[in-house]
Amino acid sequence: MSGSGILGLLRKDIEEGYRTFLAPIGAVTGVLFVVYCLRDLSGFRDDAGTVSAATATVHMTPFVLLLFGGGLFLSSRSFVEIHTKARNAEWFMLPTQLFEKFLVRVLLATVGWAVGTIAYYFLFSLLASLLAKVIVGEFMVLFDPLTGKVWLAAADYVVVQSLFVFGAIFFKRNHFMKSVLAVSGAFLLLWILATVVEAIAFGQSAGTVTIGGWNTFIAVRGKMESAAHTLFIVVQVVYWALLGPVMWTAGYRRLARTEVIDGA
Amino acid sequence: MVAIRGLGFAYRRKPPLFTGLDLDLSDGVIYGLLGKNGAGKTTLLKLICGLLFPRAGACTVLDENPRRRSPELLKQIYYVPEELYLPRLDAASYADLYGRFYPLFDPDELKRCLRELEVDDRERLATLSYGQKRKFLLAFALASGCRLVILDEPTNGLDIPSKSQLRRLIASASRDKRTFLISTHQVRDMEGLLESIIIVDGGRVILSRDLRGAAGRFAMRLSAQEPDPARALYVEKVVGGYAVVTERRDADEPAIDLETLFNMTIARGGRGEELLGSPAGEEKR
Repeated sequence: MSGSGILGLLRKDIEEGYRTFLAPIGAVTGVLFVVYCLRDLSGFRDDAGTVSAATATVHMTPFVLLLFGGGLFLSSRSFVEIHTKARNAEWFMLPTQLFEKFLVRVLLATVGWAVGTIAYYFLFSLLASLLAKVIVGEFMVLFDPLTGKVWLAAADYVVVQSLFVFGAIFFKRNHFMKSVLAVSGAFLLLWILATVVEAIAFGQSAGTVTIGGWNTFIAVRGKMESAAHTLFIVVQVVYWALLGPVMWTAGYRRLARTEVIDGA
Repeated sequence: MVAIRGLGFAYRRKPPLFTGLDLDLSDGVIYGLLGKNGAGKTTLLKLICGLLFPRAGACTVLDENPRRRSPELLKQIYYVPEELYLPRLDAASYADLYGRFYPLFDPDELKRCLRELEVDDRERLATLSYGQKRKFLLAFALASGCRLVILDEPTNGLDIPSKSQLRRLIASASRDKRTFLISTHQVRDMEGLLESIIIVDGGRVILSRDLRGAAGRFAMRLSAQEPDPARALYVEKVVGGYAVVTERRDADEPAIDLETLFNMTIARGGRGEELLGSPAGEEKR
């Protein structure tokens, strides 16, 4: 892996792609202005509390929508070249390591998008605050990029987007919709599985509770709570530590096996 | 340069396209890759580039397996596909962003080629016409300094002057021991430029020969009357009569043209090498 290769690819991708973002950024800014204007202006004023609290109450929902909505869509299009007949040969044949090409796209869609959205949202709130001062005579509370919730949302986004990066490589077209459907399908399966397990574990005691059955339930409740706690920790570890690396690795392996078959 | 042994390839849910295909390409030669529609010309180019993977056999380019897509190998191969895409950049930005990946890329050579091919380097590349885009990528391929330049239907969309300019540019670039592999349907466009021809048909290479050696063995004349088939190697009905191919006995006899040679080889049921006999007597490069 070479630093100059990665920098060259980053520069190429940014210079080629930044124009694509100009119109959506303008549109999003306009929509956000309208949304903020339609909301109770008092929510934006200094009496809304500390900047951190106001960030959580006022800015967080639109910020998260932008972070996830835009980011997941971007992630699901980050390998669009490999499925496009006129572009796939050029992409694969550019003389850099495949891993560098993959890494640059993932970096742009994870760190690039998350940091870019945080910076954009701060600048947007600054601009909106200045406009509020001009229009209503009071500053709007700024978006605080250093709030923990903001970075937790960014970390959440980085994990979830790994599913969409895999979808971008795996699916040949309609990457975003197919990824959404696949993730929803996986959650549905997990939910059905959990329901079945629950029914097997508690189903018999749910209808008729005997003294002996109740005593047994009380006896195992502690163990069940402990098991649930362990399961929760396992799910946390899988989500925060494993999901991203596993999906990126699977995506990269798939990419390395991808052939250029008329845009497929 | 390129060595292919026993190559097999099939697209999913389709019959095999290549079975046991063998091919060797040498340094510094301009090869023409010819074949009927669907014979697998573009597929063969993609296999050489590492864009497709063989299902059987082996393909090596500059002693490397192209399937690995190593940067060292990719720096030596430039492929201009039939379908093109260029980003919304001007020529200078494109050269700056893409040229850095090719160690021997020469921006002055790119400017010279663009001038020669009459491509306006100030316009955004995405807004160029199909023919202009093709000329730009051909110029970039020539300026890349790659040892193996692979062109898929390079004359598609080019006007008549551009075709001859392209031929000139390729001929001058081939003097630097660079190999060109040109897949084309437009054999007349490439006549006089190609030094060697490869004809693929029925899943294998049916002819791979030095063109001067191959074409020089046959004479072609036009006849208004239908000739006796026993006295001709090949007869083709053309406008105004028949093209008759015979063994060439006299150097003054007009040699067979590339299109007729192709048609004759295909018509002989893929027994092109039998038709031409041993290549041993051919002029060595």
